[in-house]
Amino acid sequence: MILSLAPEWAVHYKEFWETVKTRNLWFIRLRYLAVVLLVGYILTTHLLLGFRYTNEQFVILFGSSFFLLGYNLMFDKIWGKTEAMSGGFNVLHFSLLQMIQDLLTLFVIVYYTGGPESPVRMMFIFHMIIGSLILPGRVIYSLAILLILAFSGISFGEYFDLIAHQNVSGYKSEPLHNNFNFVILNTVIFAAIVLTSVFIANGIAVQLYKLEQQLLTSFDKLKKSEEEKEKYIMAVVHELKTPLTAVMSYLNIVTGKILGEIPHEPLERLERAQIRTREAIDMINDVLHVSRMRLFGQMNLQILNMHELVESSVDKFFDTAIAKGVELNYINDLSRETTLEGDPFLLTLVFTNLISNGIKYTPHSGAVIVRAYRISKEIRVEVIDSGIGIPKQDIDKIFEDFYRASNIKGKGYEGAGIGLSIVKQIVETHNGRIQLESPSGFGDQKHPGTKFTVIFPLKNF
Amino acid sequence: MSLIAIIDDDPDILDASSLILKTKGFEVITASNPVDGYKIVKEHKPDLIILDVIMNEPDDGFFLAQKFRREKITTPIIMYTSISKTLGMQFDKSDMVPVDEFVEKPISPEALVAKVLKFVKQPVEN
Repeated sequence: MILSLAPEWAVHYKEFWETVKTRNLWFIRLRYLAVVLLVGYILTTHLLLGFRYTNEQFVILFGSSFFLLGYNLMFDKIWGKTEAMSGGFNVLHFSLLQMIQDLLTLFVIVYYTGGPESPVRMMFIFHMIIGSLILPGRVIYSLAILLILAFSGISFGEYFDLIAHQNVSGYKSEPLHNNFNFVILNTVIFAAIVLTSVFIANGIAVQLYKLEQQLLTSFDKLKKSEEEKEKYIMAVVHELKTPLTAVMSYLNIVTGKILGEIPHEPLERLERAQIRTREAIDMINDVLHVSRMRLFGQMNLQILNMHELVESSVDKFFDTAIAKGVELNYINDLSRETTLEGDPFLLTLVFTNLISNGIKYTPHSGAVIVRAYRISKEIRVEVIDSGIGIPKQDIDKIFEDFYRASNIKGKGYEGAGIGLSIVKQIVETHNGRIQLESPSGFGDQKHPGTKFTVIFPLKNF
Repeated sequence: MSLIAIIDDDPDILDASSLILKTKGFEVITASNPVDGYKIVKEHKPDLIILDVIMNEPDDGFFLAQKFRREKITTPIIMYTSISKTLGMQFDKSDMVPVDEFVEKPISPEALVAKVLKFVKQPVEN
């Protein structure tokens, strides 16, 4: 645990390591920028501001730029191979390695641009802030102490002539490295800024991490309670099915005249009862089937003939459309060999829902078109109506759980069926996608209409 | 005359199935739990067993079927199920699922009789 550098509050390991990995990439990109800025700094200060560097300083500074570029290219390669997980050489170790490498390089640059007087020394603060955002507290504080010691060492080393001072002239009237007041104040303020920056930045970073982790924990809990609820519903619905099954079995016996002939009038009513019971059982089966997919990801995958599947879905609605005075047009350009791997029950549910919605929201003498075709490597099924349409502000929300468009609330449209959020979920579980347009281009001012397009990629073409 | 044992914990399903089969001239015995079911099969040696998949506990029916097969009772078994299609389960005859045929609930007289006739002969109606 300690060796992995991971903080003890990182509960959601996967997300934690992913974040660290992303930040490592961010550092690598930033370092390319640093190379450009360093070269820019040397050239600008020398050519425009008249700083005077010795040959040795030039060689070291340009050399450092190349060195920086070189090891960054290497880090870039390593990054792709690091895995966002604990164990062995992990992404946090990688962050620490980069940090140390950067501090050492910067130290050389600071020393050769004037040591305690170097304008570049401010970059240490920047490095410590970045380090605080990613490394655990104990590691970054240790690094900060080492940095302060090294910086004090170089300042006092130069003051007492133990280390040669690398002078850059052109920006100060007299040397400062041998001015005791400057050396002491510069060192103390440097140390103070380093420590407060680390304290603040690390504090904020830890807070943010913790918040993120808390959010993930709450999300897990929410998901769990959602699942519990769905399991409960599944159990209740299943219980409902048992008595209905018995009712239906008796109705089948009576209407099947197993117990003898029945007069026409009661028989007709019993047959109605049979139809309505069948509806209830079908609805229960829908719910159970969808719950099964949502809870356990279980589907009954088969190779399906899509031409037939769409056709059988449409067939169920001709009577309903005629009864409502809505014209139902059906164009199937899919070849009879077009197949797709999927759950026949769930996919039928998708099409029957879209078609039944289309008919439901289209007024008398309107029309619904169902069109199936193949375009390049996709199967497309469109359900277009000339109905009431979906207001613009609702289009993005219409696929959310339990959402109902603003123009159908309180207008006597009953909410039935499984809902568009589940339709979308089924389509996406089949690697497909669903699109919505309103106006559909098929209605008029008063009835702008809606167009749903379900798209499935074909694998084997 | 062919004897059929029906084992199901729902009395109405027992009644409905018995009605259908009796009108077709079969003799029927029933049990409403796996223990009694085991007993009537041992005692009466029916020609066909109809078994509900879920009784007191889920999979009760499966376990009873497995018990029969372990004890070398080779009587054909039809299983009542209301879950195979709903839950996307793929049932096939196998050692794990030692049954010969499935009948979907709710019971349709035609479907039940057709499946039963695969295993026993149509009695001569009086």
